[in-house]
Amino acid sequence: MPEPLLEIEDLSKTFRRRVLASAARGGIAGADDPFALQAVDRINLTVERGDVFGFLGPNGAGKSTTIRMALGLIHPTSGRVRIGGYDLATDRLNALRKVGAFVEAPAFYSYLTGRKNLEIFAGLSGRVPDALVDETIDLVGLRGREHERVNVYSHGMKARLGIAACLLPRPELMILDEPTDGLDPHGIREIRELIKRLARQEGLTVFLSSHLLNEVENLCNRIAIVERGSIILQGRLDELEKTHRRLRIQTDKPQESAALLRERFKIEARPDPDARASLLVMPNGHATEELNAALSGAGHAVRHLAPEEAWLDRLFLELTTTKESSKSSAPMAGESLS
Amino acid sequence: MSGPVEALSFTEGILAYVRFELTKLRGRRITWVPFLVLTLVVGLIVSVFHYLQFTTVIQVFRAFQIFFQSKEDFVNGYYMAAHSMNPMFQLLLPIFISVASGLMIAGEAEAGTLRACLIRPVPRRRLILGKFAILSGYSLALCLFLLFMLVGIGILNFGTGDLYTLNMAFHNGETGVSMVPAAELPFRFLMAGLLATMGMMVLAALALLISSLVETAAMAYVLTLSIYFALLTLRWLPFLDWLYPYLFVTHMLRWQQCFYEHIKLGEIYVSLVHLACYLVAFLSAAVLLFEQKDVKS
Repeated sequence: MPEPLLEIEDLSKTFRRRVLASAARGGIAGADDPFALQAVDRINLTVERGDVFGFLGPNGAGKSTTIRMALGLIHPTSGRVRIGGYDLATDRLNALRKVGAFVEAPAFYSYLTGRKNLEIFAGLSGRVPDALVDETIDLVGLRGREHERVNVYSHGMKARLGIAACLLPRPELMILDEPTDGLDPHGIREIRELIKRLARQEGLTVFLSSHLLNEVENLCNRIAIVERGSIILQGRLDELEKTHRRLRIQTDKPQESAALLRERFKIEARPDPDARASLLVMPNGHATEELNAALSGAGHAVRHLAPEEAWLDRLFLELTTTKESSKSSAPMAGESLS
Repeated sequence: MSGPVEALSFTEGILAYVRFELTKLRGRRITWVPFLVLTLVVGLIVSVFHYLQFTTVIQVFRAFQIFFQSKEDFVNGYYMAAHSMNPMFQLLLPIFISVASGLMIAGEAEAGTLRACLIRPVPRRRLILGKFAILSGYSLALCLFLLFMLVGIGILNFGTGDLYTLNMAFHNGETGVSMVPAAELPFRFLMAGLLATMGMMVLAALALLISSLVETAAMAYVLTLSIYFALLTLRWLPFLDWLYPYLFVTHMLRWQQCFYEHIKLGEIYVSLVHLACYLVAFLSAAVLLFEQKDVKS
């Protein structure tokens, strides 16, 4: 029986515009109040123990506001957040004891050493033995640099220190908001490997917000895509892959192949707009081998048959790139709102 | 990985938080700047007191039938300290306290460390009260350091003796001269320092309140200082005389009473009550606002 660790129910946040001029930015203005901006609109999601949950959305979609509400930084206008069974509104301390998080960039006291930062942040959660700090420093690979001031750390080291600060209270759930933002490719790989290790070896539940869709594809088992404050797609990544990942097929008779697939399997096959193959096919649960056998059996020479690469990118762009969404987006936390 | 960390008891939590704030305060370079500035300013004051002949002051004393032949007759360490306290306690210390307070919430919000603290299981109320406790200690340290420097360096340079003060310099328009015997002066200075600290604590509470409302440290201390200096200025407007007894800045300056020949304890009590009320009001408002604050930075 899956055990929910983070439950978000009907979560909404309406900000009031601070200045009239900001109305020009667009956004989802409330019907009754022209100065109200709906940053998050009735979001529902559940992260179960053991999940690595990817939370996706374009800039200004409401991801950060949702995460801030899930951590008690922003008070929701309506809705409820429960962490480990504790209601954040009524039992904030017990709820937050279950979580390690960083929101946007990990923030530290730059004039203190990495180790001192870890000690003081962890000290807010409880009694932290030195051995635990040492263990965490080793885990994130900061051994040897922990006594240096944070202001000499690279972005990558700060990100690792941020993850160490999340891990120190030994949380059950880790919430990471854009953990690889601003990192170079090496840094991105390091952090990705670290998260993967924590999730797979240490069994941590991770809620990850990211723009990097291949990162999400590599790490996550479930995702939600948020757009203009609402979730527009949510599910298990393997199930979404079955229903949304297309096949690229190259045959010597593309039109006949398309007709055959349409007729026999009732699946849509259309010309590949990238011209990397002759057909793009949504298999609708049919196995690749099954389609291949049908085409070959009908005498079509199948030269290429492979799942579409970067399908999540394509799906994300299809779902989030519309005329309407590109001109108006929900405000990010802190943007000319009160 | 090891299991979860052990939760702290209420008292342990408060002590841990105060230690945490103290570590940050100690580590910040700007914390030590006021001590350096005060040391330099005291050095400057000593030079000025060596240089000045105080002929005008001697004439003013003469008008009150007190006849000094030269500055050596009345200028001593206590005289230097008492007469330097006014600008230091009215101008410099409020600036230092406002800046330190502004950095505590709005500064941390700006740097992102406030959200890093608030996503931990620490009550918001404890966070702001812990900050206030540290600011109070910092105010006390600054006031006592300043007095120690003024009196100590003053005595080293000009010796000791009775303190003669022109009342108008201290008592809002009252005339005459006060003479406090040397034996009483260490206690008087200590009392003045503690009263001044109480005033600074009120200013710190106001700064925390403003710091809870705004998003940048600069905005927090500029607003706090604007309110403080605006109220100080109001005190000089004759048609606002009726308001004067209710302003917290009036009571912040009550330490001046300590250099009266006869201390009016009643007025000091009244000021302490006013300051305590202001303190509770500012701090309660700061706690309420901070608990409701959306941290968007």
